[in-house]
Amino acid sequence: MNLFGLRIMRVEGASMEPLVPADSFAVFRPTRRAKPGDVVLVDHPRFGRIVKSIRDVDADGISLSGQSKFSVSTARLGKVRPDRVIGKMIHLIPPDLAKS
Amino acid sequence: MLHSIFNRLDALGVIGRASAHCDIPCGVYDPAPALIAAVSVARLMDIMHQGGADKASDVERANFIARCTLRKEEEAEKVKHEIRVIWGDYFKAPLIEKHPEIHALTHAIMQKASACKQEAHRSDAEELVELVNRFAKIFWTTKGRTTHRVAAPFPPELSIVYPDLG
Repeated sequence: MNLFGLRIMRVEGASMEPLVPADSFAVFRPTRRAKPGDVVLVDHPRFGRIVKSIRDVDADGISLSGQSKFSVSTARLGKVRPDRVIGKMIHLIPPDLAKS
Repeated sequence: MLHSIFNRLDALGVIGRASAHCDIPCGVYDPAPALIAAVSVARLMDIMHQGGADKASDVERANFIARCTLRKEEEAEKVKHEIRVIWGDYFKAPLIEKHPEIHALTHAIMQKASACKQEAHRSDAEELVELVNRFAKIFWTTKGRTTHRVAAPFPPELSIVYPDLG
């Protein structure tokens, strides 16, 4: 869902927990200056549309990692081109735990 | 509250998905879907053998049998899939050493499920259910659970292995 240039996505899976709980809604803003530590929405050439943290940025590309130890490893994720980064997470709407 | 609002929007299909899946097997295994599918194969055969006698025309009967055949094919394939996943992903060396018959049993299930797809012999379906029952019993043994058998409370009321989970 796009709203005023922002992209709202439902995050499936637990690889970004505890920072991004599974089934959260996350709001992403387009960015061209992603930096280490940012949580980003990436159009990954192998894994599709994924949410990961930026681990490192260098001339070869951007390294990604999950928050959970069970995440797909940084090595398997490989490096992605900066234009693969769709947006940086600027807001998180976690599941309503009181209802679950 | 905000999450509830977005949930409603999501139900309308307007919100995209982003994956944060893990890179490990989830570890959730249960032979119940395979058993249900195996019993469904028997049930579908029963329905097919009744022949759609209540149908008004040959075309309707042909349509009815075709649909049953398709569903039988799907359920038999589901048996194969579910068993393959448990056998391939769950059973590892220590469990296989304790239950060496699991390979032959899995192979027998594959063969019998294929027979159920190729033909419509009720005896094949009953044997398929029995093979999956044996598989389920071994599975629950690996979980330290005893099992019991009861007639399924739905047609065709074949005997099914259930775990004692209480």
